Amino acid sequence: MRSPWLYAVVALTILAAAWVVAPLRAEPSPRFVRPWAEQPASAPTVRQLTGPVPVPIRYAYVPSCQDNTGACRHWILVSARGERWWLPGAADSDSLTLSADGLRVAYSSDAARGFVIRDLKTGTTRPLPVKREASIGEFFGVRPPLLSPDGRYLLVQHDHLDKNEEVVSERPLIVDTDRGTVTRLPGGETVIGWTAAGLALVRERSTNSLPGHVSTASFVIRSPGGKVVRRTVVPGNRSRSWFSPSGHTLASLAREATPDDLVTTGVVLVGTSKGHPTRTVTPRQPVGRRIAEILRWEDENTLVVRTAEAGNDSAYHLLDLQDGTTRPIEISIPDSADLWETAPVLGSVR
Amino acid sequence: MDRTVAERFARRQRVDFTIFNGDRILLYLQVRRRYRWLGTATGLVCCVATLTQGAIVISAYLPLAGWLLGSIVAEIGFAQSRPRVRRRLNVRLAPPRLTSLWRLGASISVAVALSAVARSYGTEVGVRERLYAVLTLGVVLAVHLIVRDLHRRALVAGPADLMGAELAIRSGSVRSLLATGTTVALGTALGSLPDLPDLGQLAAALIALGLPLLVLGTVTDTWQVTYALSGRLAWPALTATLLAAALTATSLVWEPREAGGTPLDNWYALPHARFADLEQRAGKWRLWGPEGGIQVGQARAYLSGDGTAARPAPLALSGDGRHVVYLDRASRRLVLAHLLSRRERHLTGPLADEAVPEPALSHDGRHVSLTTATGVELIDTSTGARTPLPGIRRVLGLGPDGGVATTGPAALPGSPDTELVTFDHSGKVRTRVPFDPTLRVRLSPDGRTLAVVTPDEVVTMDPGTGEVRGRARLRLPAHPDAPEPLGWNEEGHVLVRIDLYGQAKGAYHLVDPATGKSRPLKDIPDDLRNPVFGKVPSGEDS
Repeated sequence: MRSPWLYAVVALTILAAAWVVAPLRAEPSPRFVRPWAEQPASAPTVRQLTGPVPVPIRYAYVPSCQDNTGACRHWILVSARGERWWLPGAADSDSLTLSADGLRVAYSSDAARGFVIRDLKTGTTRPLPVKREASIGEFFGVRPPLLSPDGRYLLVQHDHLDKNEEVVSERPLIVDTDRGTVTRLPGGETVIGWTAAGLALVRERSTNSLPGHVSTASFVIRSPGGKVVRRTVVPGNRSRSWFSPSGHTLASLAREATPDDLVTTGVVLVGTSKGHPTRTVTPRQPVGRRIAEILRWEDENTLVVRTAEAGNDSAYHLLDLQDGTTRPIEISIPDSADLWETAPVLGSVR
Repeated sequence: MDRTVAERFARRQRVDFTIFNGDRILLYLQVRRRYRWLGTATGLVCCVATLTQGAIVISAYLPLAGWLLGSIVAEIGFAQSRPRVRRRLNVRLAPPRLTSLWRLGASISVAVALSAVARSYGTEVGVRERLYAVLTLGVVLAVHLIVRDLHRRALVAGPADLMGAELAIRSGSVRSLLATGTTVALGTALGSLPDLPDLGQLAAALIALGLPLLVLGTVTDTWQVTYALSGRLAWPALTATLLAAALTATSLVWEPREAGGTPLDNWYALPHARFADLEQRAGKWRLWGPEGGIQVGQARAYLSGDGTAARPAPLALSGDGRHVVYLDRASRRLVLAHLLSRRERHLTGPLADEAVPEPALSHDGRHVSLTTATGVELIDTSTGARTPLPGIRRVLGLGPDGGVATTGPAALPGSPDTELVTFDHSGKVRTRVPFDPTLRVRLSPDGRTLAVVTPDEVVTMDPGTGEVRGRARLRLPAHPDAPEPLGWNEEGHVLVRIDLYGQAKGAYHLVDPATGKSRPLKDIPDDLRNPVFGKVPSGEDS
């Protein structure tokens, strides 16, 4: 039997070592702000879409499940009543867009080797005269296809990599889904979005004549036929502006660089006739939640925005520009850690 | 073995070499010498290893600790060859003066270590301090037990000169252990001391240096083992207990240290700081000089978050890299420190986490701005003058003649623009012009040029008029986002960081604002967290 002193020495050594390293163990363990979004108690039922849908589609998303069932490998449409359908032909790796009224959906289809449009009211699908081309993806800033609010026109912009492996956007295409015609717009302009008068685009230019600024943003609205309907020039920090449906107002985020990040201080409204700011709307949001992105105008007084907290806890809201109030848009995506990463496509959000 | 070693031993221990004891003494000296030098060499290696980590302090502590460790190992080996019968010998193996000095040194060392243990239940005691405390107790205990054993192992019967040699050997061991043990125990205990005021530091240094010097005086004396009455005084244990209680009480009621009271850890190892970053694993700011980096233990690394996550505590460097502003961990004040002189100056009182301002320094470190949600305060560190700058929201930079700042959106209601403001050091606003608040800018060291970096261009702007002076297309590797300007170097080039699509190498580049040409800065790690730049290298010396 060993000496009891040996045991005492071993015990003391362990005690001393534990005491020495105690501060390391006392460091606060990392906190996960929100491991995953709130989920319904049971996974919603997803059926295959075979015919017309009874109500407008509110949003669509790519499922994050891993099996090879149809509901796992295709885009899922969610109605205003919460019903879910997976869309045959719209593979989860393809692009998809919904009209703002939630009644039309356009997507690139492997089977059709190009874009198709589906009238959700009737359940009919028609191919469009635009070929499906390989894209390096929206992750690198490639413009996804975009249906006009009434669903008649589809914007498609292809892309490729140049010799320096930089992404180059090709000239935008506007497809008249009723007539089946395609209009190619001039290059060099960045697509902003649809207005009632046509497609809004912007071109940034360097300037030396505007004190305190280094660039200007030239906005243009082009009719579906490609003609210029309206032009407006504003300082470069308003290049990410959205035209209102009437085309009379531009909305952009008022942002300010801080040592840590660019922070949003409100939404600036600019009259397109003179290019001067008319007012700044301060959204009424809980402390810490800010507008991260303007998605579109819903009507002349309402914006659809994505909001986020410090931990990128994204949500979608309708912002009333009259009084700054916000109303959440109910979006529920199973197994989604953050809506921003899932990037649902919005349809009718009323 | 050198003959002089044996002669020195014989002289100091007053023992004669004979044919009966010569082999025994020589064997003892040889073995002890081998272990001691082995320990010393290990200590020297450790000492060199610390040099490679940026410290330039050469200390005898590690070699001496190695020497002691070698002696202890040798004694443990000798103990195996001695009779296991234990009986206290009524002899004095060491001079009374040396024994007293050891008891005093051991008492103080144990007291300091025990006070660290006691403090750990009331305040924060770091791993380093705890380790030194445990080592101190270990050193004292090991020396005490071996010396006690040397007094208790029975002597083997034999000729008188063999007995004398055995006693002389034990005496040599005891004297060596007590002397080295006193020095090492005191040196180790110093590491477990809390921050002390000037007077406390002076006292600690006097004790840690003075006692070993007194001990050294006794080691070189000659000494012959004498008989002594049995029984010992118990004063060392009582002294240690009382001292520990006193030290604990003092440190627990001690106010946070005052400015200038405590030297900065390893500060003097850096002639200037090129940049600083947050070492995530250690949770500490790290300063990087031309030769390497050092941790800034006294600088707070994180502030508590708003219920979600912690955010980095502020740290700012002057453009010449010689001044640093940090949030002091102990006092919770913002402190301005000069790296070379190690002078410290408090810029604020104790701060709550949510009230900690964002500091900025002029190139020469003379002017400091502190920005909070309510405004900006400008401090002239040479005169101590403090000037409030009402209406200023963000300081873009401080030059020798004044500063450049923006006012925030309140200045131009309804507009996404802000105002670009130049002001002098008295706070008087010189110019105001509209300004794009989303621009990423850096003020040149002379305060006369703003470098603006867009995704495609580097633009120079007059901060007084907001006019563009020049622009050049950026010639940088492909990058998805706008490069981030981080500082100017002495050649007038702008340091930028680019995102390389997640690639590991080549994030930092120097850009010539006149031509847009760039060259990579190769010795800046790409994985820096929250980097803050001071003296931006020119590239040639990087």
